[in-house]
Amino acid sequence: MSEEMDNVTAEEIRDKHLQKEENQNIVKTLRGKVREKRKNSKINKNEKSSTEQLTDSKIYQRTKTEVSLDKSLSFFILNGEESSALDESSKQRPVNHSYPKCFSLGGNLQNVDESEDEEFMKEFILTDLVKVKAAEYEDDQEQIKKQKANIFVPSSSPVVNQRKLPKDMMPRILEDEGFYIQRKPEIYKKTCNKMENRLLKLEEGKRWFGESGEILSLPTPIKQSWNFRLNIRKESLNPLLKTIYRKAVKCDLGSLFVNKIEGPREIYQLDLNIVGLQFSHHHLFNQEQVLCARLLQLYECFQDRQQQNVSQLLYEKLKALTDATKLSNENSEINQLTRKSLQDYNWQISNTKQLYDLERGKDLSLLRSILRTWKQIKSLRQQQGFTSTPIKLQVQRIKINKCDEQEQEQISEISETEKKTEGKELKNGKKERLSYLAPDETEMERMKQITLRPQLSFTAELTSLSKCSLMLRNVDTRGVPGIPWLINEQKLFEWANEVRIDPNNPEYSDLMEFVMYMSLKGQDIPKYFRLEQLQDEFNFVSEEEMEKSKRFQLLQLRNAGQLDNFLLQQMPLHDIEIPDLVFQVRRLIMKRIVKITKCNLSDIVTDYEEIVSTSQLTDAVFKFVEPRRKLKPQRKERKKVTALTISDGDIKILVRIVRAYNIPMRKTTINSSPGHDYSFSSLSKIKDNIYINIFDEMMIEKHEISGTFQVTIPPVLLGYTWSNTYVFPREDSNEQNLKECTFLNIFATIEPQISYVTYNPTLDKFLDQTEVLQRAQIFKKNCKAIFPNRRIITTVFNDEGIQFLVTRYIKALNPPQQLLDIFLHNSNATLDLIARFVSLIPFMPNTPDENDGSDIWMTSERCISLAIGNKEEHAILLCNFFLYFGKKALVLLGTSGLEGHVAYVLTQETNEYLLWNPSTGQCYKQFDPFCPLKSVDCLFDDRNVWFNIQQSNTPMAVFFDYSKESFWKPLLPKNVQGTKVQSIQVTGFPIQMPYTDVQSVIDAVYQTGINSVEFPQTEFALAVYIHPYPNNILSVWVYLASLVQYQ
Amino acid sequence: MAEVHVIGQIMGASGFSESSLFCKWGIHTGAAWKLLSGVREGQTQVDTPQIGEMAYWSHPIDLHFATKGLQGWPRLHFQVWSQDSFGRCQLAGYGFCHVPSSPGTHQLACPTWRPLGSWREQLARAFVGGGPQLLHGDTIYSGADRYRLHTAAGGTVHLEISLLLRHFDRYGVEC
Repeated sequence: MSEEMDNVTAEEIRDKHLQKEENQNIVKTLRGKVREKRKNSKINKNEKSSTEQLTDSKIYQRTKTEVSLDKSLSFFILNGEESSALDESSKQRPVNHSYPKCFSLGGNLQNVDESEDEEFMKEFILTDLVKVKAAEYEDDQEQIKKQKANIFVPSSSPVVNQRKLPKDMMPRILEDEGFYIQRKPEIYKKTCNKMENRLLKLEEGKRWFGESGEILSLPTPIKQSWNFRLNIRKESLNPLLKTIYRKAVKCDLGSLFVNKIEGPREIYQLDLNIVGLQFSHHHLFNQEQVLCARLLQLYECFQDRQQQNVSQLLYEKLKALTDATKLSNENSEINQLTRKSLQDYNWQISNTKQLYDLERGKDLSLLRSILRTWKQIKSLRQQQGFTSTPIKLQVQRIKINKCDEQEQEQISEISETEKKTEGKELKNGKKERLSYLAPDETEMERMKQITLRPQLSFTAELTSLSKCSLMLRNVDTRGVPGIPWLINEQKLFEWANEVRIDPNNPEYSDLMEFVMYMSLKGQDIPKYFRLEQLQDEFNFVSEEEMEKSKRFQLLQLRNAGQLDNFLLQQMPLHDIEIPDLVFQVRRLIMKRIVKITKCNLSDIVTDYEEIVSTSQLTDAVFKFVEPRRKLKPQRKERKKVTALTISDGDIKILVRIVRAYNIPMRKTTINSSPGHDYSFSSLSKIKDNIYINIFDEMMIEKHEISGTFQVTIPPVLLGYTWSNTYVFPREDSNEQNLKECTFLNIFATIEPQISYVTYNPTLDKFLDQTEVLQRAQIFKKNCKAIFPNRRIITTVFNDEGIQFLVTRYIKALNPPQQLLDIFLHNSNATLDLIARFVSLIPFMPNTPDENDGSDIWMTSERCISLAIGNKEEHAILLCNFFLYFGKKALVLLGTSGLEGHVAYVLTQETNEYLLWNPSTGQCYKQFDPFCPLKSVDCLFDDRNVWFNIQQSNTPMAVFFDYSKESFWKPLLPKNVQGTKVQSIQVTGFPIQMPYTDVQSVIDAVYQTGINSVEFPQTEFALAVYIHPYPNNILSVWVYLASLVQYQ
Repeated sequence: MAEVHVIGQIMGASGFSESSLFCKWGIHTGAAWKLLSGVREGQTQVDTPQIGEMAYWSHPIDLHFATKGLQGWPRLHFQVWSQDSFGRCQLAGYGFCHVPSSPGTHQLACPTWRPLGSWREQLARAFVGGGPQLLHGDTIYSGADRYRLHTAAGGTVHLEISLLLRHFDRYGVEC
């Protein structure tokens, strides 16, 4: 049975061992030993089998005691219920607890077996395996001693250079020689020494040392960096990220779009315009500038002090005090009070004196330093040979007359002007009186005012830059005090290249690195800036192609609401499906808009080209047949186009300057040939002076303008001169210095030629037309039938709408007396003056179209009182003035090359006719080639109207003798003259009566019977005057008149 | 010459502490893009949710772009504002998202943020309203360094966007 048990236990133990691998190794060795032991004890066991039961119970007892112990322990740990639960299981559990080294966790029986094993182990195995030994201990001191024998500790004392370097070699410090040595990593000196000492002990230790005697080392790998925390709060934020605290504002969103009538919110803006910055100091200042800044500062200080004028105040006070003491001293009787006051005075005097001396000393020292600085500046300027600041100091001396208390200022200027032009020095009277330093004798003298007054001015001449640059080369390049972080890199680079600093200078090492970096970097820096990088490279298509896309265009137009007919249609998907027509129409419209809005000078004016029209091109075929005169091209008649067929922008104005006379020359053009240089280049220079006024009416009727015009030039033409070689064709002219006239021969036309729509007015039938007026209408009709292009005016309306014959307007009128008084004996001059007077009357703007046959003319009196008139009224006024002088004057209707329809005044002199232009006041002779009048169509005076029926109507060809009916067709036959002229009978009288009431006055007027005139168209005149007398007594005067027309 | 249609709506916003919300929106594109039709920016109505906390705007977006390149793909940016009981408006959040690049319908959620400002400003915002706003609105969608900007999270803007692409395959862009 025991054998069985043994086997079982052994097997069990083995099983457990297999399970518990952690303890395997120990257990295996143990197992072997256990087996041997068991074999030895087997014999004993068989013999003692009877005693086995006993030992069993013993063990059980032992376990029981163990359990109770455990129980007590658990009692401490656990409470009530749990402990009772423990009681139940206590039989099994304690075994495990009591044998922590136990291998099995099985049932009771197994435990018993195991405990048996344990006994074995304790009894036999442990004593064999474990041997108890004392702990090994070594004394610290001994240990150190041992270590010292093996370990080398280098000393930390510094090593002499000679030991480190080869024999007889001095240490060479490259940094001192100017080489740039990079910074070495920071090492404690002690550590370094230790290292050196250690290296020296090595066999080849010396090769670790460089020429300088220091250990060779790489430059420090540590990048220098800020070792302080950035204050994020204080540093300026990226401006893009800036936030702003906005109050929660009630913004009426709806009203934003609707209600904009509200006045603008009151936002005020303060605009500051910083004109310049003046540096008081700058690190790029040169010495002179620094001194100047100092001088300015001192001067400012001086001025401040002068304004305060403390010393002057003290001086005055002192004077007053001394006067007071003198006065009280003179008084013989000295009582207590005066003595006291005297004491007080003395005390005050000494006090004020002290203060005054102090102030004066300050003033003096200030002055002295100003002068010193100025001297320094002067010497510096002299030394360097140029002036770079405009500052100049002048010292004025104020002399004080000692005898008089009143200061008589006698200023003697000590001018210290320094004019250093072109390096030369011109010194004007350089007298410096420094007498203010000398001590004065008397007390009052000593206390006198500072008499030197410096004055700063910025008038010194600067040395010109070109000279400066030469000198600046010689000036030492000043050190750059560290490269700031944000600077203009390019500029710095350029500067560094220019100055050629020593590259070995360690001070500039940063700069050199920068230059290197820049030169490297500069190779691939693009010269342009692109907002969107790599856009072009990755574009699908080019911009133009996208612009061209019809579909996109249409879509955009539809979005903009400019596509009416396509608005509701589907947009074609492909460009091909879109007809071009849509765009052509749009383009046409756009073109027109562009034509109107965009008009450059080059669009309008073509430079000096022969005017070639389309019709001229067709004539080119016939050119071969024609006589060739290239210098005198003939003008061709061109086809006329009706105005209605021409749309906007198709009409061109062609202007050709054929030749010009007497063009004033610019004074500066010395080289140009005098006078006759009428080439294009010289003509183009005078474009400022030529003002050509072309009238629309003229253009349409004549189709082209050709002729010579006088150019209106200002009376004084500054900067221009006339050549004296030019001989004017009209040397006999006396009124004007005709040498100073400029003429232009101009040919202007429109392209294409537009036929003029003539408007024939259907005149209303006037019911009350008199015989004369009827006759005038017929006469006009007949005249128009013969010469449709010639002007004829027979009847006009006055300002009341009544039709009159034009002859009614002509009546001698006396000119203003002021004009007559100027030239009493020179009648010609007076005439000129009157013509000028008339020309100065302003012209009525927007004169109605003269071709509708219904002119409205005012009488001369009205014209002059209103101070306004049209062309005809001007002419009539001038004519009336001339008639006053007894001249034979007529009004001439015609056309002018310059002004279109005009009215001139024709005066008959002894052997010639003169033409007066009332709008300019100029007078022309009949054969004057420069007269702008182009046609003479009609003449009238106070008796008759004559129409020109001669073949030619140009003024030169016209025969002006209007008495001949074959040349001039008169309106009224000679015998009718005079009889037809209307006359007015005036009747009337004054009434004088005392005033009682209004009714009595009216009755008195009626009693005269003046109102009972039976003629039609009677006009009345009435004037009332009341003269006051004392006591409300009034005298009434009534003037009555009736005007009756007789025919 | 590819074309992009962006059709959709700004559905609304959720997660905001404020209740009455409205939104200013805009679409930003690069230089290569050309707007053929539609409006680039707009503003929604103020929505005060009655049930639930989500504010619904249902604001339509309908844009038609033509492009000659991929750079500067359209990006939507939002400013969500809240209106208080006095009718005062204050910023509730900035948001930004790219328009999706694949055709189809997309549900987008765009988170928003707002600048925090100093503690004073935070205090003022809590008591009297208002609040710090960006001076330059384009910072919302531009790539500026924002590392110093302190922000607080706002709610989310919800979008539903449909995309139609045309002719991208012509230029080697598959979609």
